[in-house]
Amino acid sequence: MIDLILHLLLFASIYVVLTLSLNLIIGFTGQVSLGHAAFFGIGAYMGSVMVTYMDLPYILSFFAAFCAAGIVGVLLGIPTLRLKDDYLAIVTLGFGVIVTIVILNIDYLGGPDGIFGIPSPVIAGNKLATKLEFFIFNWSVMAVTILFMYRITRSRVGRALKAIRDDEVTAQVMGINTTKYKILAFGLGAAFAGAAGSLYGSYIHYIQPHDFGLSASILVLCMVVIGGMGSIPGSIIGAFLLFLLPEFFRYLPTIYKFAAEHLNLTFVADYQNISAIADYQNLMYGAALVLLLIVRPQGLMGKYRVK
Amino acid sequence: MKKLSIVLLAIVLGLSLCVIGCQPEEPMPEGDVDTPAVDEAAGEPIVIGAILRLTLGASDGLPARKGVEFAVEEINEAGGINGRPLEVIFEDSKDNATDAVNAANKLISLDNVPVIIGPMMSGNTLAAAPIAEDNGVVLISPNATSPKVSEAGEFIFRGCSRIDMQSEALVKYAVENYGVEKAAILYSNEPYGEGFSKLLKLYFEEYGVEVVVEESFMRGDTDFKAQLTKISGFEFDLLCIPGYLQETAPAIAQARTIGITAPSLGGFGDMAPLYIELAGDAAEGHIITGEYDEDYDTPKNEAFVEKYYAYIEENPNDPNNIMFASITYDMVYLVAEAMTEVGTDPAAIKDYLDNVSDFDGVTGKLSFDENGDVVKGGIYVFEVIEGKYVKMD
Amino acid sequence: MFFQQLINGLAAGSIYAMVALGYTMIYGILGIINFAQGEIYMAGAYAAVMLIGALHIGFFPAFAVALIVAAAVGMLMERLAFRPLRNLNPLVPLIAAIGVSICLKDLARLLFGPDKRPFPLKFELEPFHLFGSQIPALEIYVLITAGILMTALYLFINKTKYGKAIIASATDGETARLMGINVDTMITLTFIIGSILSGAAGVMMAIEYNTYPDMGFLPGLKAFSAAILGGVGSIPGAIIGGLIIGVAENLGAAYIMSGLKDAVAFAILIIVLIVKPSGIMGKRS
Repeated sequence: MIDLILHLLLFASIYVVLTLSLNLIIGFTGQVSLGHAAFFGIGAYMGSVMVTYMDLPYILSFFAAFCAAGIVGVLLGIPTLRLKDDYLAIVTLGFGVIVTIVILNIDYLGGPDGIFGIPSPVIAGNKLATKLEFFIFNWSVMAVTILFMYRITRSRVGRALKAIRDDEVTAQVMGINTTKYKILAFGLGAAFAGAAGSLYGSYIHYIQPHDFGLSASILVLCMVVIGGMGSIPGSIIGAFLLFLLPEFFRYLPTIYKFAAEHLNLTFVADYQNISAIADYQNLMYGAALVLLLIVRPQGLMGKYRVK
Repeated sequence: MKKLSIVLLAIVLGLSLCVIGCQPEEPMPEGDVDTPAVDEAAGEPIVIGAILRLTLGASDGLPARKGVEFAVEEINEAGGINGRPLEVIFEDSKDNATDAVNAANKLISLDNVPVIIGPMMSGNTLAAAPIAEDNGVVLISPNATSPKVSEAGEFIFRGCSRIDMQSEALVKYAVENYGVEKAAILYSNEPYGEGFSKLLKLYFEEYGVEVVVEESFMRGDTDFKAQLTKISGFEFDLLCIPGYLQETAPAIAQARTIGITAPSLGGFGDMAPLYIELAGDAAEGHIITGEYDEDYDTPKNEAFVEKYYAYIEENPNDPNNIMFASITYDMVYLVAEAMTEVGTDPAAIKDYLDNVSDFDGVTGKLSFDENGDVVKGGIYVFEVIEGKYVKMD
Repeated sequence: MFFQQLINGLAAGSIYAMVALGYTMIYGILGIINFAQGEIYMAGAYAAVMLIGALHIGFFPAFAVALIVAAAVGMLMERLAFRPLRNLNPLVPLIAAIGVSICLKDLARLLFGPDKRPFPLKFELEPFHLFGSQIPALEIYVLITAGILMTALYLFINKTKYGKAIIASATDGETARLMGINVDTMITLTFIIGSILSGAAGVMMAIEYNTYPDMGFLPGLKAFSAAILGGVGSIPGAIIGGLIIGVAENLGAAYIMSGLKDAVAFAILIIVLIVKPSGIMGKRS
């Protein structure tokens, strides 16, 4: 039971890092990025290849994942960041799709079969084995990410980014090198996504291209928007919420059974039919997204902002 | 307007909950909470887990679920496992590694199951395998075909034939019965299709068949004419289409409209009435390996076939795939037999499964090899003859 | 062979073009990307399949009703999900559209089952023989139908009062309002037209291929790319964009690498956007 809770918490933290990384780009710099999971994947593959095929130390692979994704982010940013909103959206979307398809076709990376048997991280001579150890490690990375995000968004750099988000033309007029800062945000966002990828591969011990495709990009995007763009606590909450929401449906029969047996509560639908709710999960998830946004368009923790 | 939207959406959600609440009770093999478990089996239930494709990929997952439900029903009617009823907790893998992993973690850590039937895709199986292996829980995938599953762990089993044995059987059959000398391959670019295609090439080489052209497509593609037109520019005696029927069926139909006349070959994913429906006349003569022969002549199988088709008749809108049902049916029975003999300790169950031989299943006489892959005494090859799959000897 | 691939590409492209028109018109007037456009297309397909298959209605009446159903779905979508979210950061209605898309796909699965459905009518059609290649008749009919619908749209937009009102609303909503145009109605009308086109595309896809809950996803994505490629907001642009993507991915699959077929569409898109960010027919912003 404890293991289960630790698993959910530590797995969620990977998504928190991802969400924060995307929020830096979307929420703080105002740039659209619909293919963010590609960086997640690049980091995961870089890290996994190094520890699995090349037997290199984990810490090295972690930084390699961080840097590789960051570099690709910068390379993508340079030609594309002069595009505006929707064009940028489609380019990043296309980038995400292309990365997945390219990985799919590279045999060395396992092709569609992916990389199996990724070893657990070895930190300072200790191989992470228990859920608790993974929890501590992942949450440490998450904590560092959160700290970093706070520092950077409150610094001069952060102010520049927010100026670009709020009104790019004015920011340029004020002398801010908007291109440089946009690329910086993109690169950093990509890099942290890559770090999340390294965590993912080493925890699940198996990665495949499908894990980093459009669905993943959309999920992270939802986490950012629902949590509140431009809000760090928002990203944390958004990530936990959207990660745990499907799990809520998964545990509903268990919760109900517990309530029925120990608290003598009876509901309109009985136990068997509560399990049937699982069938309606996706439907309710989609409706919940729409509902949440209509009720609170700025996201849970976002500040209200008109276009 | 905003309020109206909120109200409308709330009504939709509320209605869905009511609809669920008002559904007539189905007989639940898992064991009911308020009606007592079936007379003969009483006592503390034994709970196993199942991770199947219940929403995305439900065409395969729902029949697989039915197979489990039938087996559990019958086992409980016959007295359960040493008097204890068998229960199954179903989880949806949603074709997603994250969900498969979360489901496995829940089943193992919260529900404490000794055995998990599933997941159903190689990718999800490989993601869930380390969890099962680390916790010493038996995991039996009904239909993961990736060779990597063989090495996934001691506790990891699979209920379908290894893809390399399937490939060899197919190649041998094609060469011996159709004198194939040149082949074309159009494969699905994901683990199953790609792996299958590689193995076909391997065996083609062994049997002296030249692969003249190789093209691929993605899951979800509906238009294969670009690839097929390219293929039709070559000469070959056999067109192989490794992949899932949602794509392979339209692919062969389109191949015929383009004018490709060579016989076609595929995998067990094509073994469903839906394939024949989608491919239409183009399905005629299609060669596949299958995991299950409806005409297998044992009393157990006859009863199973009757029961399955009676259910389909009563539920014509449910996906119809007796093959997936047959595999999970056998796997549940195997597990039940293991638990009857050696109890619910997963390590003991694993040992039992490793050593079982000649188990009377509906899919054949079963045992497992040293990698945990099922062995049925040979690979079944089928051909579509007059709109039906017929087993060839 | 080249000609065959070309026709394949044009037929696929005209379907993308029709859905792209939906995207481009909605984007033009509302400034949002309707991620659920593919599901309107899916709704049209299911409507036709169920009307013909379950209720045994004739093809042409079913086609017409399917278009009405698609329009209704589009209208509902606009009212419930997009109207409350105007004038916000465009990512918000985008996510809402994603939510709608998830809902509709799941609804289709719950109502009609997950299996692919072949079209309930068999059209026994002889292939055309043109320039030495065999062209499936269905493709020619798709091209013709798409051509008719798109011409109708073009005439509507450019020659009728309502069409001009839509253009006005898209160009400058505030001014249009001041001129007495009911912009809200124009928005709804735009959704209806875009949905009719998407629904028609859906029915044609259902005939050529099969109907299933997720069928809108990939075509939707490609159509969206087509709209951007052609210059979002531009009607001729959407048509050209759609055709280019259809032809490019078929030729790319034939002559480069078939495995990368889907990537080709996006690669072209990215290159074009880097070179000319406003798209082919877009005005420089």
